Parts: sequence; structure tokens; C-alpha cells
Amino acid sequence: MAEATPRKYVYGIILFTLVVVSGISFMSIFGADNPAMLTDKYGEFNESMNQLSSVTDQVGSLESGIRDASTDFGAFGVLNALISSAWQTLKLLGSSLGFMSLAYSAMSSVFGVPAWIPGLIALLVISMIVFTIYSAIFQTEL
Amino acid sequence: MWNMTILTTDPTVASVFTAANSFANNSLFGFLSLALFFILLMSLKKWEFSSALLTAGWVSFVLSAILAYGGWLNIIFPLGYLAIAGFATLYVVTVE
Repeated sequence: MAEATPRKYVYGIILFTLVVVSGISFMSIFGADNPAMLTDKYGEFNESMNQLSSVTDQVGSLESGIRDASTDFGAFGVLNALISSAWQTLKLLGSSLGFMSLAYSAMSSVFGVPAWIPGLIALLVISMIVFTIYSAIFQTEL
Repeated sequence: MWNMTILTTDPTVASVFTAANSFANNSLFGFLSLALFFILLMSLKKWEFSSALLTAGWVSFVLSAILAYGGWLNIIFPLGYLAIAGFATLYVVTVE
């Protein structure tokens, strides 16, 4: 657990999305030939697990924060952009926690897992990330 | 009770399996894919458990998606294996 950093967590979300999107697109190739195979469960799973667009939007705004740095402030323009991109990073982390609860609550509706199990798992992941951020800031293990 | 004509008119091995699967409400191939998943998981025990789970989940997903395409398996099986592979990926990248 001590190795889990927020940076790796965001990488993990992106790779999670890669696996889910590639699996969904794999099945949609079959579904083009046999639409009867794709039921409502498929659409429900796809909507809740496929978080590519939201992660892409967040990372894109992170990039544009630096690229579109205002030149009015001279050297401080870059500083301004760095501060804004740091804020975007925090927002990305915040939205990725939302991603986690979304992905786990999807398990509840698609697979019939009782809602308290995904809820507790999401809480566990969120507390892990909060402790990791605390350790990174204060340089102590709690 | 059951429609047995398929076994008398077309007695190939594939039709026997198809009939048995439909008699069992698609659970025959469902349990087959579950057994395959656990056999894969056990046979990869020399690896880390999380890597074995990721591999077994992905392989089972591909095979069960093909079976679901053939109409022998409910769509929930490939989706379940895909979720296992996805969360195993998240764990492998985040914690290890």
C-alpha cells in the first residue's frame, strides 16, 4: 500500500480505461454481425465503465493550461500557468475518485453486487489516496 | 417437456452440446468458462496473483466473448471477465 502514489493511481485509471475500451470495442465488432448478443447490460456497462472522454478532457485542460499561458505577465505568465496546472492536477485527482465510485457502483447495477460492497471499496481507495497525499506533503507515514 | 427433435434430426457433437446448453439455460458454457478461468488462474500460480488474475481475466474474456457471439453464453460473462481484467490492471499499475 505504501507504494501507491496518486501519480500511479492516475496511470492505473488510464490503463483501466484502455483495457475496458479495447474489450468493449472487441465485442462491438462481434455485435455488428450479431446485434442480438448486445443486450441492455452491455450498454449499461459501457456507459458507466467507459470513462475515456472525461479523463481525456481533464488531461487536455491540464495541457492547455500550460500551452495557453498568458504573456501579459511576462515571466510570471509561466508561473501563473504552472499554478493553474497544479490546480487542474488536483481537479483531475478529484474527478478520478469520482471515476472510482462510478466504476464500482456500475458493478452493483450490472452484476447485482450489493451496493455496500462497492461503496466500501470506493471508500477504501479514497482513504488510501488521501493518506498518500498526506504522506507526500508532511513526509511522514500515518 | 424438452424439444428433443434436434438430437434425432441432427445428431452431431455440436448440436448435442447446443441442445444441452439450451436445456440448462446457457449455464453449461457459463460453468465451462468459469472452470476455464479458475484453471488458468491456478496454472499461472508461479506468477504474482494479480498478474495471473489479469491474464486469466483477459483470456477468459476473449473466449467468452466468442461464445457469447455464438449465442451460447450470456453477455454478463464477458462483461464480468472484462471488469476483472480492468480492476486487476488498475491494481497492478497502482500498487505494484
